[in-house]
Amino acid sequence: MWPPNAALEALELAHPGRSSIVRALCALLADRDAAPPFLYLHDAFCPRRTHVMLTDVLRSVNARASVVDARSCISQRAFFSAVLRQLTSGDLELEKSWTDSVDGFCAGLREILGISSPSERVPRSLTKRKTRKSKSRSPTKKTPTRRRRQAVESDSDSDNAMNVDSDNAMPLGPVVLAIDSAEHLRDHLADLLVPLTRLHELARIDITVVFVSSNSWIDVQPPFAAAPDPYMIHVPPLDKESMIATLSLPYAGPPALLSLFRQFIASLYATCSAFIRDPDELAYIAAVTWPPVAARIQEFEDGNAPSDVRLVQGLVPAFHAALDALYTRALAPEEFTALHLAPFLSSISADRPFSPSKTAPSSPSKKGPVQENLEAQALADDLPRVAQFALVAAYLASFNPPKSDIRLFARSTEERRRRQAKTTKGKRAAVAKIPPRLAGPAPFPLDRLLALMGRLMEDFDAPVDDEEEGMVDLHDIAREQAEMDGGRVQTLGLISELATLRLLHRVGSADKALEGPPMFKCGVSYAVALALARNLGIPLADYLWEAN
Amino acid sequence: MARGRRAPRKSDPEPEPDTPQNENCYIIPFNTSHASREDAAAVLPGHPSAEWDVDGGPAARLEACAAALKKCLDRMQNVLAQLRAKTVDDIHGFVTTDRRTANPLMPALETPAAVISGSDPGLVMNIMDDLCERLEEDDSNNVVHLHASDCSNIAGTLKALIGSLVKNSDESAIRGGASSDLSVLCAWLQSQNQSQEDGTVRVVVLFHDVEMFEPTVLGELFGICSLYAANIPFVFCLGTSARADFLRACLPRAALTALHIRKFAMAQTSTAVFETLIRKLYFDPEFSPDVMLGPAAFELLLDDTNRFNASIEFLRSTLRLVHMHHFAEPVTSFCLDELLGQTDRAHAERLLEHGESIGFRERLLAALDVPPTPNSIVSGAALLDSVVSARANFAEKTMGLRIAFNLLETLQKFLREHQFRAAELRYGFGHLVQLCLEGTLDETAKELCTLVLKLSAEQLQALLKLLYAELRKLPPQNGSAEQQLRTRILQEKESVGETTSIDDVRQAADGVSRLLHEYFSERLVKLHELPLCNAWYTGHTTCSPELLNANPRASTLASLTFPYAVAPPGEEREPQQQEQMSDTSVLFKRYLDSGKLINIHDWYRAFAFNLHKGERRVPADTDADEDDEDEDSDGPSSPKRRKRGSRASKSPSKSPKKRKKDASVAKWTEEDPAEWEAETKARFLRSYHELEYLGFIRHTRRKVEHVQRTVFDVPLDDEDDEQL
Repeated sequence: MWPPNAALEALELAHPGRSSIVRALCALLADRDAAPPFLYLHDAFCPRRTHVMLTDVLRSVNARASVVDARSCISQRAFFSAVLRQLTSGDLELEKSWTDSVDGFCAGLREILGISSPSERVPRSLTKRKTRKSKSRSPTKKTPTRRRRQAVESDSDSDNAMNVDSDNAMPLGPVVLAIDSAEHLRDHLADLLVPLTRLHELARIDITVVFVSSNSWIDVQPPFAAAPDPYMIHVPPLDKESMIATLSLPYAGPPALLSLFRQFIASLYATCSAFIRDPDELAYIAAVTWPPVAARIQEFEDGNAPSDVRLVQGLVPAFHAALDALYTRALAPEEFTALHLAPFLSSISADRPFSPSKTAPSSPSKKGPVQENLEAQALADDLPRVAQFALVAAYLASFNPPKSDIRLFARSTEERRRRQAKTTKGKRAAVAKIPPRLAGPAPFPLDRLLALMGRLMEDFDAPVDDEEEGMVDLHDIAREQAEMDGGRVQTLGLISELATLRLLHRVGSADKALEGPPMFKCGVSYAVALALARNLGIPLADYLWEAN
Repeated sequence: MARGRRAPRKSDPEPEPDTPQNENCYIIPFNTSHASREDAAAVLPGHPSAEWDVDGGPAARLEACAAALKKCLDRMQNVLAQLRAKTVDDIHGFVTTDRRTANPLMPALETPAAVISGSDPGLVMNIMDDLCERLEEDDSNNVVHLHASDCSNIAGTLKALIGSLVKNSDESAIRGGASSDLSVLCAWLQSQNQSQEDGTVRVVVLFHDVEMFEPTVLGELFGICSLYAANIPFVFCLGTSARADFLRACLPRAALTALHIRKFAMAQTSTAVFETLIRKLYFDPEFSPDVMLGPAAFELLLDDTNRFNASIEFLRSTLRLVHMHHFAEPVTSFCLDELLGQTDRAHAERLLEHGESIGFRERLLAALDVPPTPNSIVSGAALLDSVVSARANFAEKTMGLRIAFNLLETLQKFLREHQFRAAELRYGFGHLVQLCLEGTLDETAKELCTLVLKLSAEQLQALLKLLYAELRKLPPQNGSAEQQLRTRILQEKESVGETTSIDDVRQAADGVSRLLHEYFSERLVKLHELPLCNAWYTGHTTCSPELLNANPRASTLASLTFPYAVAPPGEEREPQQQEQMSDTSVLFKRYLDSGKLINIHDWYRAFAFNLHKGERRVPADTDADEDDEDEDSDGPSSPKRRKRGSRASKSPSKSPKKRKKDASVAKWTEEDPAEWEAETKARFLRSYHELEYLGFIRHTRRKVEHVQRTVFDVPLDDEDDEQL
């Protein structure tokens, strides 16, 4: 059923910038007989909104639709029962056999559709499609799919021959099975992928299967071309006007602030659109930042409020901060408001016109690194000393090549000389290579970690008050202590605890846990390692093979 | 708190000679058939000898230990509950926030998720438990617990989540939906909502130890739950001992955007929690523990907490061990009362006067600092009286110490805030406690009192006000020293208020300084000089840290290499006779001498040779001795030396030396060579399997009849090497 004009306009209004796709979908789905058997909607940016649009379209064309999310169906049975339950809309008790297999599912589909729509007009649809097909496609190109479909059609011809009846019922929409997040089918329901794409043939009914996915069909399709090619619709990213229109749609505040809200959204778009193309993410930032701003503006009396332009300009640093904090979900909305918005908002006062250049830009530019340092420092404060040594040693083990250990950590003078000589050579040779810091952490065995840790502890965990005893003795004590501490139960326990905290990454599968030495990778960043080393008094740069 | 390890201090008294140094290792004697079980128990290392004890003493001490420990741990529990209360309140507020009016601008519904993090898993678990208790008070919260063990895959996770909620409901059972379908939960929730008037039923899911979950499972679960967010008001509480950022690092973005993550953590770091606990347990005037920590025990606690494990559980087990070690001392029978485990005092007196208690009596007299009378006849009643007075004295002195410590800290903090500079002002809490328990805090107090001289009139006024407020907080029945100090401070305060000239201020400051100094030197006592302090003060010795934090590899190697060091008391032998200690040790010595691959037969021969050498009760004639030495120096005694020998000598069984050795072995076994051989083989096999069990041997196919060594770098004393 082609939707009435009013409905179409409402649809276009609800989905700005999508009118061509809405019209295309309506055209495809309006006529039950002309609907393609397999449709693929690819939206790399915001599949959620495409899904909402699809359901709106389905409603407006009066389709019998079953919309499921592939994520929620973790088994075949769950998928089948979810689809069938939606189609029956709960009036009909499902038969157990329908959810057992694909065949049962097809039987169930036929049963449900047959029972609930006696006015199914299969013969006419068939004749129509035949003519359409012969028009659209060249008759010489007879793919196996088409051949089979024709066979199926002749089957259903004979099956439903007696099913012809009056046409005076309300025009029926198509039967649609829409699957959201279709890329998840590959993970849980890989066996269903091919049958679903060919559901039209298998179930011998007019059904349109729609996949909505953020991945392209090439990534989702089963191997060996087992599935027919879908009717593809690419959903492009929104352009500026439609994005702003989309973001302004859900506004429900006082009408007086609507124009300010529009400017707010435009400014947000101008600041963030270079990094974020997903309207949902922009809407999230808007949803977090707007309410406190609106609340603050409403505190002013008329005439006292700062001008819109200056206010919106003043918010730009907060948008920048939001890219770091909100988009990555590093801060909760409340924390973000308290940290980045509240100082700015309180600086707006009625008597003193605020100057955005003075207050705003200074705060976010400082916040990033400071915050990271604070986190590193908090970690340094919270971990026991031996764990800190273990982390620094793990960082060194991951970012230094193993051959460098003897030169960096050698104790005797001749070894030191070797280290001196080779270090320069190594540096010269490594000019063209990728610095290890950029190449990511390398795995290392537990023994190496313990050895480096022991050496660090020997040098930097020496007893604190050293006035009484001679330095030589003290060093011997430190070495013995470090040797003993390396093998202690608590030390080894700490290392495995660090691995569960993801500060160290255990490399290799759990099955091979008992084969060979345990391998680890460092899980902390340079900043954290540096903070820990500073806490312990270790000059980290001296122990790095290639300076950062 | 000062971090870092402290070197052993010269001022520390020497450890008592009977302190067991090898508590962490114990070799089970092979010949247990000879000794009865009681004997074996009696010779456990660290066990106090019975001659110093009183009849029924151990049982009484065990009870006293349990009671003292319980008091200590209960207090700890209370303090921790107070510390947690605010965090739990915050989380409870977040969980129970009404979210029915959503922000219209929000693109999709977010599921609230409280991440409860902290480096101490036990503490996080306690917070979760408190939270769960709070939530279950309210019927509208349906609490579900998820553990990593139930959630290895997504189906199991959903099943656990749904199953635990709908299991009691008949309705959903009738519906018969799939157990992993959240729509079942929707239906169940609707039925719940009908019974609830205001319709605010929510599902609170508590994830315990989130870092143990598979991130993919978590991601899928959050994704699925977000699909039902409109129908099922989920609230997630995720307890983790990792960083709060850990979720952000491991969850897929789709799951992350579905959550409204709020981080909660204990306000205090683990170090601060430790400080608070020590303060509330041992330096709170309102709480007097049965057992006062000594400097050694505190150092053990501080060191291990700083360096290895800052968890509360570890602190708790350390305290437990410290208590147990403390109550090994016989006089601690008097820790709680003077009844010695008897029903009344008359019995106790009789027990004390009993002839068999003479050792205990002597020990008690020594502890009481009573000069030993020549015939040591002191009546039981008099002894018990002095015990009672010693207890009262100790209690009063420790209470004074606690108050003085707190005042000193207040003074130190005040001076630090007023920008004074001195080494004493930089001392952290840990260092102060250490000095206080050692009894040397009065020197610090003296230094601080000299700083008081430099204060101006206003500062002096402020300080006196602060100290007066501190003193007012104390329980009123407190001893005279504090009362006196309070009145004197009040007087000084008034006089300072009236002074104007600089000289007067200086004079007043001098008075205050002297006053404080007098007070501190009276109150900061040395606990170890008090009579019978052993009963209530753990003193300068405590349990070995090895018990809590052993190095299994080092101690296994050490006890195999030097078995006599871990022998039960009474069975120590000379190092020369160590071969007799244990067969495994003998075999291990030969193992150390060998190369990377060990020939089993050579090993066996060397073992047999050693065994026999050790078991000769009387030295044989000189010929035999010379023979031995020949053998030893020639080399068949160790597989390694054979291996390193020339190629010619390597050919087995035909070498003349080998035959000579066989002959010599035969010569030693005068009576029954076959029986001796069988026994040796059996002992060899037994020791061999023991080493294999300990992981010293790896089987290899590189060479027949050979096994591979796994341990190489064993520190050995040269002296011992030569002896073998």
